[in-house]
Amino acid sequence: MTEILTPSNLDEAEDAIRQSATGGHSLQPCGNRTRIHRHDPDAAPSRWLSLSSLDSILDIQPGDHTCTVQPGVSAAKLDDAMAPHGLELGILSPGGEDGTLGGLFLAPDLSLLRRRHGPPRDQVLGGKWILSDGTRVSTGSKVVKSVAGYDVTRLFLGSRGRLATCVELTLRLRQRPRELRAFRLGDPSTPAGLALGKARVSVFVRDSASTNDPIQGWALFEGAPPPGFEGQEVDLDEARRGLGSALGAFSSSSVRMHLPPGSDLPEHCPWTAWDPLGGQLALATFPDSPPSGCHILPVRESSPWLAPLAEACAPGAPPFGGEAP
Amino acid sequence: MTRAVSRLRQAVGKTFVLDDPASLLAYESDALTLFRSKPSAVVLPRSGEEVAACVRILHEEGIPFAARGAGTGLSGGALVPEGGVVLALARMDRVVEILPQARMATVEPGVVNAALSREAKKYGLRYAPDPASQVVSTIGGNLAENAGGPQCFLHGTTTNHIQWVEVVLADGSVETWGTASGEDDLDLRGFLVGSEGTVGIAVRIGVRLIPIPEAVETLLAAYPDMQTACDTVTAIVAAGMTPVALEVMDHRAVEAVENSNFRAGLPRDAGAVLLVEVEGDRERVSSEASTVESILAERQPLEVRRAVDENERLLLWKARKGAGGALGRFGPDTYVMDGVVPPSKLAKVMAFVEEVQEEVGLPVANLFHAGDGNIHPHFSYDARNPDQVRAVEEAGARILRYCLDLGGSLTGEHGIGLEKEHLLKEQFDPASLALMERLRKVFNPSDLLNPGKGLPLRKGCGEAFHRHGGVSGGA
Ligand SMILES: Cc1cc2nc3c(=O)[nH]c(=O)nc-3n(C[C@H](O)[C@H](O)[C@H](O)COP(=O)(O)OP(=O)(O)OC[C@H]3O[C@@H](n4cnc5c(N)ncnc54)[C@H](O)[C@@H]3O)c2cc1C
Repeated sequence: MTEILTPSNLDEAEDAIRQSATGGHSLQPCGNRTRIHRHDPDAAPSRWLSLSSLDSILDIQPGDHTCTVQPGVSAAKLDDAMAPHGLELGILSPGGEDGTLGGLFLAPDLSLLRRRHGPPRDQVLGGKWILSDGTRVSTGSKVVKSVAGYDVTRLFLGSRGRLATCVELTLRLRQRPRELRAFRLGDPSTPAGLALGKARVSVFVRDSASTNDPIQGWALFEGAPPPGFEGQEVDLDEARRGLGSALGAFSSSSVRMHLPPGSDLPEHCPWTAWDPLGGQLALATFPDSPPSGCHILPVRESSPWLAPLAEACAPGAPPFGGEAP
Repeated sequence: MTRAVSRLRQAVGKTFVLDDPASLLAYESDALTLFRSKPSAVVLPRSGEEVAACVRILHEEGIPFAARGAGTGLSGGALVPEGGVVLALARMDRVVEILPQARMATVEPGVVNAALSREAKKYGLRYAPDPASQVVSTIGGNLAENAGGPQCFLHGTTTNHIQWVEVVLADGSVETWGTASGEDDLDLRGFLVGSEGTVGIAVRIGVRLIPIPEAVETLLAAYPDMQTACDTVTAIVAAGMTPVALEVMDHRAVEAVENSNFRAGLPRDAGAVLLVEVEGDRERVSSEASTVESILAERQPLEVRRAVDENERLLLWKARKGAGGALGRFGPDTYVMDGVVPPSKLAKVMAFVEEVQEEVGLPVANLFHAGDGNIHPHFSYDARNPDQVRAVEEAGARILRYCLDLGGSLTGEHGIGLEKEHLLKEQFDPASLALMERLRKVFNPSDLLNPGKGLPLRKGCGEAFHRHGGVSGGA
């Protein structure tokens, strides 16, 4: 059974990292480990470093649409804190309830609000980190626009914890929609036309990847849908359950495929959930040959740059996420 | 050097390597004229392969080099130390393809920003980042600086619009970073964007295009003073409005514009003018424009009006984007600052700019991306007068330090370059800066690719670039 260290403050986190470095242990930072099996199926560190107890919302600046949080905060907890200000984090991703924001941002993941607000990483303005030798650093800024220094934040965000342990994130917030209306959609082969493009979010799901399974779809609009939209208005809760099942499908599938926006669904594709606006599909298996223009995540081979970057982050120290000795 | 030049000539053709003093003069500075440094040669490659071949030669010969787009950079980014070589990418100006369905385009780095939007318009699309320099500056230069513009308030800066990049690394090897979806496991693409030309040279760029909106409304509000305009901006942001642009021009900027070819009938008696643009589908635009209009009216404006038609709208934006150039009438040189504060602190920082201006005694005009809290005080001065040079540099440093005190940043879009490197250690602690330096070394180990930019210079590097006006050292 691999040991899990759960520091309750920054000093403890730093101590744990320093001790592991001097003892030659490899640590792998994590949150509640709700998604790591998907993003990093081969992870086998000698110890996990869970940041789940660093779970304070440190600062909210509603007038500036920013907030600063510790990585153990869940998306649901942040959402509760944002709602009274009429704000939200511009993402809708799997694991909102149990997963931590650190986990969500450190591995590239999907957001059903991707077309509107970009991928999850676009919501992060900066952060504080501990490198694998115990050095504390900061990246980015607390304002929505900054080009001072390198964009190390983005480099760290996609690294699945291999380059740095996240101990603080400053996030950009978005306006919460004032009025939402929900619709059930027909078969995706007769899409609700261009009008669907105006939706805030839309998903199709089916129970299994079998192409015979019935497909269900929902869309949410901020206000009335545009003329020409065909769909049956339903209770918001019903659509929310639909979104939840799509997020569940994305969460349980190990492969995600990106289609260029606007493309048709590839034929014979074993999908379980489809976000037509963001061009994202949850797949049951790795396709033998992805259709041209499509892109599969997670990539099977990690970047050859990862090792030299990890060495540059903490020269001489064992990198995060290395093999158990 | 002679050997290197002849090898470069073999790589790109004789006529595309310049080394005569008259031609080199044009490359001794960018739009930040405080710094000058004449390269020993300028190469004009036509393709990614030629760039890679040149970089391999320069790498082997141990000669420092930097890419250059249009040279409109405002932080000295495209300068090389004396003896260095500039790779000017203006000839790589092809829009390779536009995929309207996927809303993507592939471009060469020398494509001018506005030219890309012109091409995309044929398909009902546009490229969102719109720096005021867009009729001249290139996508490659925009990528390297992570350029912003008025519309970035809603649509985000360059980094949000670059999906993938084919990049020539410091040793001449070529890689592709990013993917058609813009996502990747390790976001090297994101690290390259805004790296001020020090991580690699972009030779082919996949960009995201967005639809031209169904409807647009542009509103203008004039206020007696800057404070009221800033308070109004804060109120619009806090009310959760999502205009595409929220721009402010002060009295001096308005005066300059109205006395220039960019005149647009801006109210000359205003202390500050606020331009707000709302876009989207008709219904949304009409309701949002009405809400914005009522917020604009809350603080006793001198005037609130909507552009009556597309012509008036374009005229207003021409005025806003031409204002920087029009400021030339206040002095032979302009020093453009670029700091960021949280939008709720705009009124505070502008009051401070006013205070500094009074102490310095040089005219300052303000035109800026207010929604993002990205200020641009423009100081007019005479670069031949060392006292004035020192005064504007000191004023700049004070204003930027104040931005940091308010929780902001030293630069929102112009980059650190040569100009602000000495201040960077006030935004980042030594460990964070040392990390950036080590990360740079991963991609640029011998520091031949655009040396001395974007990070505090190591001892000795500072002398490589001459300050115009004879002032040395930071403020
Ligand atoms: C009047 C005026 C208004 C401006 N308004 C704005 C504004 O609103 N917003 C804004 O963000 N900026 C603005 N700028 C600054 C400037 O236009 C931008 O920084 C622009 O992105 C620079 O593009 P360029 O092609 O001129 O690049 P250059 O000045 O030629 O180069 C800038 C940097 O990019 C690097 N570079 C160039 N091409 C490449 C490449 N292919 N690969 C890697 N590195 C490369 C260079 O080495 C250099 O470090 C303004 C400038 C002026 C003069």
